[in-house]
Amino acid sequence: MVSPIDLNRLTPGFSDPVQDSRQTFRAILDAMSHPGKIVTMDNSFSPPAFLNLASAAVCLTLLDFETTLWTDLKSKSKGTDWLRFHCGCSIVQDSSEAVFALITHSDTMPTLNKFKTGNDESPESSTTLIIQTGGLSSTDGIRLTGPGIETFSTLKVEGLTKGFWQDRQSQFDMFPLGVDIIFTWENRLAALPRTTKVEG
Amino acid sequence: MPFNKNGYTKKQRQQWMSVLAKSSSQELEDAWQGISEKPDYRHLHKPETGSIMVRARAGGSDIRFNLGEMTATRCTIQIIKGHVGSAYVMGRDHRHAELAAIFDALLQDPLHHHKILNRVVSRLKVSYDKRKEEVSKKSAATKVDFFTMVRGE
Repeated sequence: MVSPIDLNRLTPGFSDPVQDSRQTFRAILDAMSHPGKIVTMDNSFSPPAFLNLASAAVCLTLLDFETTLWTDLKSKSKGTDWLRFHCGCSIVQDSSEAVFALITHSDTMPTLNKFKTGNDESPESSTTLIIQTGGLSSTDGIRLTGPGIETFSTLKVEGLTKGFWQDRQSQFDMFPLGVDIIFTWENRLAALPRTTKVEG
Repeated sequence: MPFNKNGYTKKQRQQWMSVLAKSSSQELEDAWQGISEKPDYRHLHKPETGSIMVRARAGGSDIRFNLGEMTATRCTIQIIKGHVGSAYVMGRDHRHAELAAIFDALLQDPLHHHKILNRVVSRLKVSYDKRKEEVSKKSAATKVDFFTMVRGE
């Protein structure tokens, strides 16, 4: 049974849906094709509680009635109501069924093998993770190499679980299977697609 | 019934939403101009046009089938410090959807409910009924009865 959305506590989404979602899509494309690059978005709207601007914008852009979403938000929270209303996506309880996953608390997130990694015939049928972090910077941190990176790039992600990078490494060994990740912080995002190699 | 706390039932809301959607845009505009204190509102969903699949049942009881797609416009607005109203209207008239959503929000508010119901919705209903009657009169005049002659053997 799907619970009704409480419309009275909703806030608006994009002020100009067509233009804003195009710009956000461009930003995601830029980040995905240059893993580790921190892309700043210039949308201005107020996201609901527990969502930062970047992950709210990514959700508005990528989710629709055909995509399923798993999230660590409570099922009757303002955030899930907002996502259901503006994106029209359906929320699933089982993370291994979700096309997208929105993680608002990166420090308590499930391990990556709890999500869909695709199969050999269609590795693209996997989960794309949107992880809200405590900070993103490219001054120091992990070293990334692979497609889209000329020599190497560095990315520091704050607030991840202790085992996250080890977990990511075991996913990398399963290539071409695996999940693609978008890290978000405030109005910034960086991507870590499955093709990128993490070198400690 | 989830809406009873506000003094109206789900069925009543369905009825006024239907009247608002079937009225003409101009009628709604006139009614809106007739309101002295217009409330401030913001859009949760700006009016957007898309197509929806109309489903039907043969004879009203068979299995549902897809009759065809039709163009519809939807809108959701929020009266500042008030209720949220929604509208789905036929066609691509954005202002129509917006006004229908505003009236839907006002009708949910006990402060405005009776006034809007009596001054706006009841008038729209009368004019809708009149239009409907005219159409059915016109089509009744062109009614053809089909019957089969039985050949005497």
